[in-house]
Amino acid sequence: MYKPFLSLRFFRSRFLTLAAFLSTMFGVAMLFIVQSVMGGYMSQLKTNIRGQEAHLRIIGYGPLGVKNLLDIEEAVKKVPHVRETAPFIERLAVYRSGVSIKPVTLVGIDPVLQAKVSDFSSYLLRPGELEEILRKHHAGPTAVDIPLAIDDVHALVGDKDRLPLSDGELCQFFDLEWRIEILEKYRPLLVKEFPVPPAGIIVGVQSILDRQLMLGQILTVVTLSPDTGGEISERFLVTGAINTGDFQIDSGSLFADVQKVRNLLNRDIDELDNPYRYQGIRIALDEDTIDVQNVAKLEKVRDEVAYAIASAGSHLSVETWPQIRANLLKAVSIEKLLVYFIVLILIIFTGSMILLMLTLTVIEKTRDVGVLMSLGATPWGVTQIFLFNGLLVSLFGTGLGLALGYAFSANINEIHDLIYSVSGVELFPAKIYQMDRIPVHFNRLDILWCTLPPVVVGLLASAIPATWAPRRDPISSIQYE
Amino acid sequence: MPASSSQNETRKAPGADSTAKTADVPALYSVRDLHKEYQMQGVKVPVLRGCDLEVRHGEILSIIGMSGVGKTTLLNIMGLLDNPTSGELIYNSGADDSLRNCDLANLQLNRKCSIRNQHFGFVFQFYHLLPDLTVLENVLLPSMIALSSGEYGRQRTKLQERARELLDRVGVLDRGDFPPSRLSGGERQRVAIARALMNDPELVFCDEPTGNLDTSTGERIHELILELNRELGTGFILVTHDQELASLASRILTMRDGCFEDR
Repeated sequence: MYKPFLSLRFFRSRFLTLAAFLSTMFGVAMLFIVQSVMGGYMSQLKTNIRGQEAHLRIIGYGPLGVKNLLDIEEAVKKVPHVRETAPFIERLAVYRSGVSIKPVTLVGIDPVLQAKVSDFSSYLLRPGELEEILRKHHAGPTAVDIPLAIDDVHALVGDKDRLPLSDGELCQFFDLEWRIEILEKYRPLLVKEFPVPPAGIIVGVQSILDRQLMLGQILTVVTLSPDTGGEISERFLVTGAINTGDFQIDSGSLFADVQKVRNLLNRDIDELDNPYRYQGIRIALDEDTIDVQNVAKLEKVRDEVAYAIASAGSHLSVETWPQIRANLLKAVSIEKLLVYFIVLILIIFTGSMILLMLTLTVIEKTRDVGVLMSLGATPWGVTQIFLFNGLLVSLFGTGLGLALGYAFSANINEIHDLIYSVSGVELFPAKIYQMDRIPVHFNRLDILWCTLPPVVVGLLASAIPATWAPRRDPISSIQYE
Repeated sequence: MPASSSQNETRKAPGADSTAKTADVPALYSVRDLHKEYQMQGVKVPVLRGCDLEVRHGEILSIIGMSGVGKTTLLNIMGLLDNPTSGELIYNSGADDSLRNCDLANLQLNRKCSIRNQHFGFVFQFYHLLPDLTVLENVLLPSMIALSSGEYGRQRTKLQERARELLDRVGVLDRGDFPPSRLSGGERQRVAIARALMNDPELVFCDEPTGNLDTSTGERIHELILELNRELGTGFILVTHDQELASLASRILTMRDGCFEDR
C-alpha cells in the first residue's frame, strides 16, 4: 500500500519531476508528429502511385515496344484475377505556347479504359468545376490564391460523395463538339483559323493555377520520333484539367487520346502502319478476389502475367505498382526510419532527466528512506517506490505527449495555413514535396514505437537510482540531523 | 496486549545486575555476548565488546553512558537495523508463536523487516516524520507497510480510527490534518510516539527521545512514556543522557567501553 502512496506523494512535491514530465511529454509528441507525418507522406505516396498507376504494368523494351496489343491483351486477360487492361504511351516532350517552352511528359491514354484500371476518372475536374474554383479564388488580374485554390481542388477530388466521371464525360474532353465549344468560349478569335480545333489535351491543374496554361490555349507539342529520332510536333487544345495530388504530374504531364499520340509517334515509320504498337499496358486486378496490398500475392500474379505474355511469343517487362517507384518508396521508408532514430535521441535525453530527477529525489529522501526501513519497509519495497515514481513520469508524460502529438498532427494543415497567412512563409511547398497538403497518417504500429521507447527508457533510467536508494546507508541518516 | 510482569516493578539503581530476571517469566528479549566492530580504512574498530542484556515484557529499561560507548549501536542491532559481528539476539514474543526463543540475528532480511514492523517501534531524537505526509498519515505509515493495498483498503476505517485514538492519547488529535512542519518539537515527538505504537508493538526503542526538546516539553514526554507503559504494557528501551528520564525506568544500565558495567 505504502509504495504507490508514497510514490505519488514524492511525485507531486518536486519541481524537477515536472521538468522531467514535460520533457517526456514534448519528446513523445515530437516523435509522434514526425512518425505520423512521415507515415502520411509514405501512405499518400503509395496512394498517389497506386491511383496513377494500375496494379500491374507491362512495359515494352524500347519506345512502342508492345507490338501486338490484341494478342497480349487476350493472353493477359486469361490470367486469374485480371479484371481490365488499358494501353498507354508515355513520351518526353516539350510544348511551345507563344514564346514559352516547357518540358513535359506526353501521356497517351484511352480515358475510359484508363478509368477502369486506375483512379483517373476521380482525378479529372468536370467542365465548370475548374472555372468555379478559378472564379472563387481569383485575387487579381493574373494572381490566383494558389494554396486555397489547391485546397478546394483537393477537397473536390477527394470528396467521397463526388461521383466519378462517366464514360461519356471521360470521352468528352477529346470530342470534337467540346473542342469547338471550348475554342468558341475562350479563343473566339481563333475559330476561323481552326475550323476543326486541334486534338484535345488534359493538363495538370497546377499548370492552370500557375497561369502557365489556360483552358482553350493551343499548344504545340514537340517530341522525337522513336524510329528516326527526328523532331515531330502536333498542336493540341487544352480542354480539361486533372488533379492527381502528385505535383510532378499535375504540373508536368499532358494527357491526350492514345490513338492521337500513337499516330503522332508512328508518323515516320517506313513499314506498314502497325495499329497495335503501344508502349505499355496497365492491368487492373479484381480487388474482390485478391488483396492488392499484399505484395507477395501481387508478385505472384505478376509472374503469371509474365508467363502468359511469354507464352504468347512476346518478351515484355511486367512490374507491380510498388516496383514502379521502388526506389522512391524505399528512400522514403529509410528516411522515416532515420528521422525516427534521430528524434529518439530526444527520448534518451528525457531518460536522463528522469535519472537526474530520481537521483536528486533519492538523495533528498535518504532520511525518509531510513525512517521507512526502521518502520519495516524492505529494500525492495523502497526500490519500488522510486521505480513507480519514474514509471509515473514516463507513463503520464508519454500519454499526454501522445495526445499532444495527435492534436498537433490532426490540425497540422490548419497550423500551416495560419503560419502562411501570418508570415507568408510556405513551410510545406507543394513544388518540393509534390503534395499539396501535409499528409498525416495514424498507424497503430507507430503509436507503439512512439510509446514503448519512452516507457522503457524511463524504467531503465529509474532503475539505477531506485536500486541505489536503500543502499545509501539510510539508517545512518536518521541518527544525525 | 502481551502479559507484563514488570509493571510497577521497583526501579533498580544504575549498575544493578543486568541479567537479573524474574524466575517464572521468560525475558522478552535476550542479548548474549554481542560484539560489533566496524572496518574503517582497513582498521577494525570494536564498538560492542560482549554485551549481555535481558529485557522483560512490559518493562522500561534505560541505557545510559558517555557519548560513543555504543548505546545507539546496541539499539540499532537490537532493533534489527544493523547486524552484529557475533552474538545472539533471542526474542521471545508473547504475541507470535513463531518467535519463541528465536535468534533474530540469523533471520532473513525480509523477516527482520516484518518483525520490525509488527513487534518493534522506534522513536528518534529528531522525530523523523515524513514531511510529505500529514500527521495522521505518518501515524498510519506502519500499517500501510504491514498490509497490502487491498487489505489496507478493507481495514482503512478501522486503522484510521486507531490512529486517531493514538493521536488523541498523545494529545495531538487536532493536528491530524496538519503537515509536520506546522507542529512544535514536542508535538512532533508525540506524533512519533503514536506512530511507534500504531502496530501495537511489544517493544519500543527510544534513542534520545527528549534530546531535542526543552526541559518542560521533555518532562511531558517522560510522563507520556510512563502512562503508555502502564496502560498498554508496551516495553520501552530508552537510550538517553537525560538522568531524569533514565530514572523513570524500572532498570538502569550503564554502558562503558562497549559493554555494560556490571558484566
